[in-house]
Amino acid sequence: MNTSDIKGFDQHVSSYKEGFTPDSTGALARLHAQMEKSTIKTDSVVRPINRFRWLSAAAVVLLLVTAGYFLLAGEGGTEYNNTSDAPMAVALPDGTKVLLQEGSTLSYPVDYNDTERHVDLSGQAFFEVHKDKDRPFLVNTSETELRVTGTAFNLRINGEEMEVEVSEGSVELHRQGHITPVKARQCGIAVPGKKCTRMEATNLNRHAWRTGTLTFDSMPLSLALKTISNNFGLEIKVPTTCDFPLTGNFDGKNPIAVLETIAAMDGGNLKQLAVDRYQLSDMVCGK
Amino acid sequence: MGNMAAVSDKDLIIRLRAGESATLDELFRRYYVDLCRTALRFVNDEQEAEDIVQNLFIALWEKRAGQQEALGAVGPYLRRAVRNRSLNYLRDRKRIPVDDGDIPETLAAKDLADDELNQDELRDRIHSAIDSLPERCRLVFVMSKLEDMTHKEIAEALEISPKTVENQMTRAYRFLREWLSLFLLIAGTFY
Repeated sequence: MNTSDIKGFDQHVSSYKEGFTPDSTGALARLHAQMEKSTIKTDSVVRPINRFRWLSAAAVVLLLVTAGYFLLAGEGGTEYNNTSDAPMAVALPDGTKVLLQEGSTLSYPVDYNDTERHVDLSGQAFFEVHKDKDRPFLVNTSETELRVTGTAFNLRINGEEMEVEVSEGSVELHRQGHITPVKARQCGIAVPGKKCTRMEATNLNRHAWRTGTLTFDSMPLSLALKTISNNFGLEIKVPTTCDFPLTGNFDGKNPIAVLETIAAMDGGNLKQLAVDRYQLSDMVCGK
Repeated sequence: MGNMAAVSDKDLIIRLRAGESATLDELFRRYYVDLCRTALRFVNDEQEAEDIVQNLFIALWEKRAGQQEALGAVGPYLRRAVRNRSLNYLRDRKRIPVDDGDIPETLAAKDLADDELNQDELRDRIHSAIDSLPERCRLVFVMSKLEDMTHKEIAEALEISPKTVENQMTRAYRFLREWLSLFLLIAGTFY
């Protein structure tokens, strides 16, 4: 049987995506709004970006004159240390773009991009790696190596623990000859002495510090809080017996507000214990 | 401003070049939906498709003085522009596939169990079959069948050889044929 034997095959192919009928009146209003904005911008990119990204972009500009700094590391390498209170944009020599979280450090050696592209990270960053099949992009802990040729991902390294959540393309975790591929919307985790593990990460919550979006879909409270605490460098206390499925979309640009909302949803409230230390108290724990 | 609906594309472009902003609105109303569909065939994301078309219209306005080429054929011009913008969009996000990918092997049994087959259903199944092609295969198929691009143009746009374009087309047809024949067989309806 041939496709031409199927009645209407070609017509049906030609209607591919024709079901999409955007509202052109609303779209025209958006166009006018954007054109007003674009008259005062020199940037050619005029697509709407969310407010969080605007804020961080503004903060990045501020950074250039304030707290973030970079210095020449040992043997002529380069180190960026983001001591400011806003994400810091870094462009690497090969065109790779990095957004470095507050309190994180990124460095690369003088021979970066000769035969490979090796960086060291302590903390968290979002990478958009410039595609170059011949020069792999590598990040190591002592046991595990992350290998990339060109893709976008969020990477957190805390001592020997490595956690990569991929938003585009795919990466590989190499450990003792074993390769764990991690695809888009998956998360790979490497901890010392254990095989690398991989899990689905449909909502890309580990990108929240950058994207401002947290989505939990019947996520156990304990895991949701772990995500928030890792993502924003907070310590969050809650009674260990208190665990229930959490569902909701949260505006992730303010983790404290998210914690307050979660507490309030469960009839409790949020107490600040110290800088970056919080407690959910008086919770009914889903009961 | 009178009723723009009666003004020809050619006259719209002339008046656009003269800086008459109402003509931009008219072009937008005429072409927005179609262009969004074209962009969607490439990027497979409705929001991004709309953004791409919005940006095209902004560029059209900003560069209105230089719109020589479009005279008399604004539809094809806009369509070509949106194709290029969609491809650039995919390229910027490194979403141009670098390999052939695997043809899906499993067919969801529940999808095939329906006893009635009508044309709407067949259409939906054909569309979802196109969506299940590996990305390179899907893009090549869409560009050739729906965007009427030549194999040479497709090869250049995706930075692959014309031979690969042919192979991907063969592959797409084979998959669609097998997928649909099995479906029609199970549905028990022959045309």
